[in-house]
Parts: sequence; structure tokens; C-alpha cells
Amino acid sequence: MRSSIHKRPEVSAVVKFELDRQVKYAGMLWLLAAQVVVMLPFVTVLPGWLVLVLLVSAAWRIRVLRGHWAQPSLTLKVGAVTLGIGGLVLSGFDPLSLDTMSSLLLLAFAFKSLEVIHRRDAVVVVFTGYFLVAIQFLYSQTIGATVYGVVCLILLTAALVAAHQTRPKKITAHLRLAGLMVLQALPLMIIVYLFFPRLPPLWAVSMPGGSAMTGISDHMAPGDIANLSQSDEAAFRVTFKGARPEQQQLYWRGLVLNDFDGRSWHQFSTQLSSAELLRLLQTRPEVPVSHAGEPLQKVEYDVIYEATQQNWLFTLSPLTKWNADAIMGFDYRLMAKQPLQAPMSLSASSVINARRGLRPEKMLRNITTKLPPGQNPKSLQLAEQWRGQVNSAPEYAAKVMEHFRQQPFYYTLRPPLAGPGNTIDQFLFDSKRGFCSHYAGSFVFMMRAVGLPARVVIGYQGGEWNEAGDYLTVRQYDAHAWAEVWFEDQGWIRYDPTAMVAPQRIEQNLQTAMQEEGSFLEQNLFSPARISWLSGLRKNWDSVQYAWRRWVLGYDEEMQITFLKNWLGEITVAKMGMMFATMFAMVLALWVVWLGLTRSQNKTAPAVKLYRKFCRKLEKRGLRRALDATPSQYAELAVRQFPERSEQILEATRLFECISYREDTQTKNVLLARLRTAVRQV
Amino acid sequence: MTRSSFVSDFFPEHMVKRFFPKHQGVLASKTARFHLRNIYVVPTPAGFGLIGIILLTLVAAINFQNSLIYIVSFWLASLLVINVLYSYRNLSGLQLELLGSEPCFAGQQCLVSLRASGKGDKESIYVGWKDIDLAMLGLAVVDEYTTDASAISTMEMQIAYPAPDRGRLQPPRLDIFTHYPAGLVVSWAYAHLDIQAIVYPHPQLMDENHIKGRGTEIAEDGRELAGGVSDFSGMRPYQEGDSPRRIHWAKYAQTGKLHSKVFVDYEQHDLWLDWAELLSGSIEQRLSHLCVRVLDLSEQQQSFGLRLPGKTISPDKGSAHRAACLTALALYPHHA
Repeated sequence: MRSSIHKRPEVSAVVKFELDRQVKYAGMLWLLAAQVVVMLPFVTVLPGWLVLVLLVSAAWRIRVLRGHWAQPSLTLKVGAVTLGIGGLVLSGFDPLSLDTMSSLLLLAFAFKSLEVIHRRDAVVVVFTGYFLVAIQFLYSQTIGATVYGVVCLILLTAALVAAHQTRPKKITAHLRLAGLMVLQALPLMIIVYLFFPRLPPLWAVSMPGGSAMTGISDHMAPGDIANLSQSDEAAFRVTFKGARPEQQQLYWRGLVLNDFDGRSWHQFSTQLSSAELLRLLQTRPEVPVSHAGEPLQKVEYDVIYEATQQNWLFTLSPLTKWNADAIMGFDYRLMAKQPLQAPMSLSASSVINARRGLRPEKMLRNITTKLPPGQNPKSLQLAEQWRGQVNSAPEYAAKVMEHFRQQPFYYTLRPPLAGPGNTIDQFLFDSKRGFCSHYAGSFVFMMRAVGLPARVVIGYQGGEWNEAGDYLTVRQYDAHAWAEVWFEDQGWIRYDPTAMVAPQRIEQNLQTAMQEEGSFLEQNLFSPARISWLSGLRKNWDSVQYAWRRWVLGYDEEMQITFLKNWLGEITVAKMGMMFATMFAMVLALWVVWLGLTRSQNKTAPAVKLYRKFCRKLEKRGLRRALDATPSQYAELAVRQFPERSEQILEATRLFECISYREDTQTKNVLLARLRTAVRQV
Repeated sequence: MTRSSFVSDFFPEHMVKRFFPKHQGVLASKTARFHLRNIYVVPTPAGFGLIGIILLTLVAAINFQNSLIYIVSFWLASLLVINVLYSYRNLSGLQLELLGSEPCFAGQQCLVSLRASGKGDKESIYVGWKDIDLAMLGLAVVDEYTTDASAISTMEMQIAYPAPDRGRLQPPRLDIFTHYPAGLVVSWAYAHLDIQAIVYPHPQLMDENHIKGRGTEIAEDGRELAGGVSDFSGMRPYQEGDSPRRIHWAKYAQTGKLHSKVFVDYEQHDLWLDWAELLSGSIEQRLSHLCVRVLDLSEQQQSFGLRLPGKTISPDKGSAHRAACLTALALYPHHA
């Protein structure tokens, strides 16, 4: 056969086309940035070395990406994971707690950054990030934390977009697109948020720990409340539904201290057996009754408490109705069933002049008359002596109060340190200087000294009225201690010996009472409460925070129903469905316009727009551009007709032509700005 | 029951129109446009993953009674929904035009040329057949300063479809899909383009002993062509205009009259590639053999003819002739 000279075509097997599935450099960078930002806030609550793990992984990944280092070997990875889990075990979290779960998730999140090669990996990281943003809101729910969370969402979305890029682009383009998408998703989010039915918890969960308890603690040593008064943080905020009671009636009753050990006051004596304690705690309080002839003074209000990690809820006493997940104790205190991990809202109704506890149990009488034996002999003796001088118990109480008013007692945030033993004697006879806890404590001592049931109550007194927001902010420095004394036929009556010593404290506030001494927030020099010109700013910020607490964080089932009822009238499923569908359709329409999906959309280029404006301007002066006239021909005519404007006309025409034939966009931007000015001047 | 009646019996009319246009007598055309009625959007596995995350955060929000986690959950859900619109927008308005397909040999891949055009930016759109070949398509408004945003930008691309057998190749409908922007949803559409390609036989020679006598390919001498230059044929009296070089001077010396020499050409030995000369071998082997011969002879610029049962192509040369011969081989058998 002759040599075959035809070109034999190559017979190639069909190669399966691989979609471009690798994460590019820009994708990696955004992913690592998002990871760092998502993890940072966890440093405050979870082990800080987790961020270190992330930073090392991220740095390694970038080195690999640049081709400097190799991907870590399997042994190294296994070793690192083991070390990480070991570290978590050593951190001493309860193995089944949420903290452990989130730490594990964070560890996996940090390590995974080393492994991201394909899009699938990036998607896993981003989704874990989304979930971590949600977890972060268990730890903090401030406005700042929310803004930060939104930033995290945008960054994670940018990473997702960048991971799916197929052609190189400007690195900021991903962020812009992600930001735009997140922003555009906002309206639908709000609608779903308003309409989505709020359900009760599906199962009980443990809340994350890790944050310290704030506010009033469950016992009172002489200096305690004075320390609290150095803080200007909000404790809770109140909106009154009707008239606001007067300032001196605002006793926000918190917890009751029944036992005195000679130095500090506690809720119960440690000698009380658990059976006795249980019986006491299970006793239901007597229903408050109205005083004969006196009209009931009913106050209705909504409170939003800051997270304190404690159970105490502060209300005006006695409470008649409340709606939150809380129980009332035998001594009329209100306690949340769960410690306040997050801000909590409460709707309550109180009758502030009703009589409480007309027939207390014997055991309650016993524990509220007990005193440590053999201490404070001088006070005991004085009590005996005074009791002999008056006829009735109320008169005796009035005499003690009068004593505080007449004797040179000082109300001070800088009380002298008490020596060992006989603290009441030292205060009543020697120093005569003290804070509310001293007055309340010694008053209760004097009552018990003659066998009257009495107890210390701690809570807050007063609050700052915010005119702009029509609500009351009660801050930590409003913390207060007062006394309750029980009389036959009258029940528990409130006495506040501090009001005898420093009436301004009760009638106005602590700042006024401490004006002379200058000790108000003295350890907190830069508090806006101290600086007058910052005060207005603080009030505004406070009302923003309150609105946040009330309308966003406090948007629960009840509020949802109230809100929807106000808006739509009677609520039915069909109506809700229709309303939701309508709103959804509106958002959809908004999106269609926003994304330019309408068919008639014809955007004109900015340069052309400007030139048309130029033509319109000249047209108004009587020079119409012929359909077939080129810009330069038109300019020639225009210059002849309006010689006084010739410079601007020529400039605008020249710039328009220049932009039209330019290649590089950067110069065009500059030229476009100049064209704009030129057209304006014509 | 034929396939088409099965299809139209089984599916409602609008689905037949959408998915089986050929069975409806709807002719596939040269262009396909994508719009609201033929773009489908569904979540990708990643999208379903996000739905999982949304549910997970929702459960967390309910259990912890946390408003902000509700917000995260709903925000992610809204993000997924708006991704549907972004993805749809990316495909919407795109137009595909079939430019043509190049013939190929069996066992090769047939290249189909397409032109995509559309308004505005189009990102990361895959066009082709899934698992076979896809081209990535992206359109961008090059200059946003002087070009109207509604201006059309275009891009041309080629995709390959395997052609294992000779004959007429009709690749199935094209898949068009995009994961833009975040890979959470995929927008897809079908393009029923009228792609028709000719697949030539796989070129392969047969053993020589299958072929009857070597001479058969070389045919008899052709007839004489007057006014040629190669063979002397005779003399005639000189006429004005005859070239002086052709004057027979010897005759002039003998007779004193001018005579001119006359030459002729012969038509070339015509080559015939004849099916009948191939003694044995299957149809495909014979076609493959003839295919090689066609390629060889075309390479040598030879004139040749092709005789197949039911079809005869008279001798000629040139690329059009080559294509005609190869096409005849590809489309065998022919019914006269």
C-alpha cells in the first residue's frame, strides 16, 4: 500500500467537563476575614485561644494559597484536633452545656479554614458562621452586638459570593453585592418577623453561663449598696399605662432579707432546716386587701429588665397581676422562673396602697423577730426604754424614725468602716454616718428588739424620667434598702428611715442628695450622668436602647398579638395569611423594580443623558438640534447664536465627544464630572 | 404506540410543549430566548443546606425565646428568596443563537458554535450538555459610561458533542444553567436548537486482499481534447494567428507552404472510487476505507468520482467535492 498521506483525525475520548469548583484567592480572603470577625466576640465568653487556633490556621492557609507551604499532613491535623479538644476539656465547661457546644463548633470552624479547597468546604464554613452569629446573640443582645452581627452576615455572604466566582473580579465587588443582597433581604425579614407566630419553647434548654451576675445580690452587708451606687448602668425601664405615681412612691421592691447574723442581712437563716424552708417557700401570700374607706390606687405598667443572671424582679408592691413567667413568694416578692439571661419584659398591675399579710404565719413571725443573741446591748437597752414611753407599736416605730430625723445622722456614700461586733451600736451611737443599708438595717434591728416582726427590703427607689420616650429608667445607683414592719390589723407597713435623714434622696434622686458630699459616681468620673452636657445625649441614647428592648427584643407572643390587633383589628388565620401574602407581594414588587427586572427598563448612559440635557437647555433658548446634526455642527451653530456662552458650549461638546471615544474608564470618570459642570454652566 | 403519541397522551399539553417540542411538531429553531416562562429556579444542595441552617436557628430562637436569633433565621430565609431573583435575572433575557456545527469523523467530537447575546451583565452561565461538555458564558457591559445599559453584548463559544457513529447527528436539547451569585439556587433552562451535524465515517483502510485488482481505480484513457499541448496529432495549413513556433519548418522546406502542427490533450485518467470494487468487509469497513481514499485523493489534488449503491458523484476535485463525497459516505445508504 502506498504511504498513506491523509491526516488521520485524532480520536479522542469524551472528557467529562468539570465545573470550576475551586475556591479562588479572593474567595479565601473573604472567607478568612469573615471567620475572624465572626469569632472575635466569642473571646469574651469562651476560651480566647480558639481565636489563636483560627489565626494560625488562616495564616497557614494563606501560605498554602501562595504556594509557600504545603497542606498540613493528616497526623498534624489529627494531633491539632486532639489538642484542641483536650484544651476544651481542660477549660472546665460542663460537657453538655451550650458553652461546650459552641466551643466545639468554634474549634471546628477554626480548623476548617485550613481545609477549604472546594466550594463545598467554603459553603460549610459560611453556614457554620451563620449559625455562630445566631449563637452569639445568646450571649449579647445589645444594639452594638446586633450591628456587629449584621456585619458578620454581610461578610459571610461576601465570602459565599466570592467562593462562587468564576472570573477574576475586583475584590470589593463581592462585598458590594453581598451588602446589597443583605439590604434587599431586609424588608421581607421584617415582615416575616412581624407575622411569624411566636411559639413556646419546644424543650427546656440550659442557657449559656459565663457572664457575671449584676445588680443587687441576695444578701446585704453594710457597704454593699453603696458600691452599687457607683454604677450608672440601667437596671430596668418602665412605661406606665396610666398616671405615673409620684417619685416618692416608686419603691421597686425586689427581695426580702429576713435574717440578721450581726453583720449582714440574708434571706434566710442558715439554721433553718430545708423542710422548714421548703414549707415557707411554698406558702402562698395572702391576697392584698384594701384599707377601709381608702380608694385603691392602682398602677399599671410594663417593665423591661436588663439581663442580670439573677431571678429577682423589681415591682411596685403589692402586685395583683403579672404576665411573665414568674412566681410570687410568700413575702410578695416576684421571682422569674429562670435567671435573667436576656432582657425580660413584664406587664404588671399593682395596688400600691393595699394592705398585705394581715395574718402572717407563726413561723414567719418567728424568723422576722429573731436577733443574734448578746450583741448590740446599748441599742437593745434604748429600744426597751423607748417602748416603755409609748403606748402602741406604730407610735414606737414613729419614735425611732423621729430619732433618725432629729439626731445628727449623715447620709453618705463614704461610711466609716465598721469595727468587729456590735455594728448597730457603733452606727447608732458613734459614727451616725451611713448609707441606706445602715439605716434600714438598724431600723429593723430596733423593731425586732421590742419583738415587732420586721424585715429589710432591697430594691430600687425612684428612677429617671425620660420625657422624650415617656418612660422611667431605673439605674443601678437607684438601688435602695428600706424596712417593713408588721402591725396587728395593718399588716406589713413600709418604713424608709433614709427619708428621715436625706429626704432629697427619696423626693428627687441620689445625685441631689450627694451634691454636697460630691460622692455621686465618684469612682465613675466620666459617666455621662455626672457630666451635664452629656446628659441630654445619654437620655437620647437611653431612649433608643429602651425602644430596642421594648420593640425588638421584647417582641413576644403577647406583643405580637397586641401589635397586630392595633393594626389590623380582630385577628383570624385567614386575615393574617392574606395580610402576609399582600405584604410579600409588595416586597416582591419592590425587588422586581430594584433589581431592574421590569421589561421597560432602559437606562441611558450618563454621558448621553448629560448631552441631552445640554441640548434641551439650548432648545429652550430657541436653538433646536436637527436630527442629523453632529455634536460639532450643532456646537458651531450654537456658538454663532450665543457667542457669550461659546466657551462652555465648546467645552461641553468637546468633553462629550472625548468621553464617547475614550477607552479607559478611569479618565472617563474625571471627564464625566467636568462635563456635568460644563453643562450646568451653559 | 409511537413515542410521540405516548408523550402527548401521558403529559398535559403545556408540559409537552415545554419539554418535548419535537413531539409537538414545534420546530426547533436557530435561536432560543430565556424568560419567565422557560427559566426554572430550584435550590442547589447548598441551598437545601441553608434551609437546614434556617430551621436550626429557628428552633434555637424558639427554645431560647431570643428575638435576635429569630431575626437571623428570617434574614437568612429572605436572603435565600432574593437569591432566586438574582439567579433568575442572570439568565433572563439571554439569547442563544446557533451559528452552525462543523462536520467531524465518527469517534471524534462534533463542535457546535453558538452566539450568546443579552442585555447587561451575565455571569457564570454554563451552556452545553451536563456531564458532556459545557462552555462558560459571561457577558459584561464593557463601558458603562457611554454605552446604554440596555445595550446588547455578545459572546461566541463552541461546545463539543461526542459523535461515535457516522450519519446525521442531532444532539439533544442544550442545558443552560447558572449558580450565580452565591450557589444557593440554580436557574436552568433548555434550549431546543436545531443542531444538525454530519458525522463522516471513521477513516480506516481495509486489508489489500479485500480489494479487487489495483487497476480498477484507474479508469480508461479519456477522450481527446482539441487545442491541447501534449500529443502531436497532425498538421493543417497555416492560418493567421497561429504561433510561429508551431510552424512545421520541414514541411515548408519540402512544399514552400506554411503548415502548422496540431496537438491534443487527453482528459485525465479519471479515478473512480467504487463500492463494488470492495469485495468483502462490512458496510462500515467499506465506508471507512472509502473515506480514507477520499481524504488521500483530495490531499493529492486528484480528480475522482465516487460510486455508491444508489448514488454516484461524477469526478471532480476541490473541497466542495470532498465534502460532498464524505457526506455521501456519511449518509449511506441512499435510496435512489
